Amino acid sequence: MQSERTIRLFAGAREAVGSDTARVSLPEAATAEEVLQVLARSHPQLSGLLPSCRLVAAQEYLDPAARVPADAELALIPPVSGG
Amino acid sequence: MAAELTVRLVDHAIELQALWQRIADPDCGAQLVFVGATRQRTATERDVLVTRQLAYQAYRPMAEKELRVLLEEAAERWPLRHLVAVHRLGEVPVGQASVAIGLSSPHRGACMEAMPWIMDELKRRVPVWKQEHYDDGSTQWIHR
Repeated sequence: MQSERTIRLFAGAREAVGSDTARVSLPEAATAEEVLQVLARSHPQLSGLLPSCRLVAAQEYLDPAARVPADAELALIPPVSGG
Repeated sequence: MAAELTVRLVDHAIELQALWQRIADPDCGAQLVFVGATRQRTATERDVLVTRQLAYQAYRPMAEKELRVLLEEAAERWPLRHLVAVHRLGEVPVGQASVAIGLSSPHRGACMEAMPWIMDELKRRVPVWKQEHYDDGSTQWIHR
């Protein structure tokens, strides 16, 4: 079963997409790595940035092989540059 | 003794006097404040980039949480009594502070060792991004 999910976007990713969110259709029990692959296909304007991005669920960084929890808020985190 | 932690994301100038007051403690012989500010000129291999201002964006709830976790970890590693982290968001003109870290401890070693660790970790994991606004009108999100 596919599920429709919203992923929050920031900084260069937000600028590339022209929106502060991206809608994606994810396979059941998708891993963080698979979510990035789905994003690369649905939003090709992110392709340059995606290899260096991390996925966050419920404000926690996910390992690439970790499954994405069902109800958590998702966010795409490009390399950070605070300070 | 439990450490006192303060984390703030602000949309205005960072109040450094208030930060000094927050880390003051009669039992702390060491008080250290680091301020990161918008730099005007950045030399690259080819030329010199001139910055007019920076604009910071954050994933706010996570940035606050990550800053707090960072200070908690620092307080476990070093005997610090007061730890303050303030990050400014939005536009920060040249010369103004974008980030300020304040630490105090009974002896100086803890502050002096913890400060570079905190700044390195902040730049590695806290979801805040800077956008350069150059003098020629162009802008660039910094992702490295």
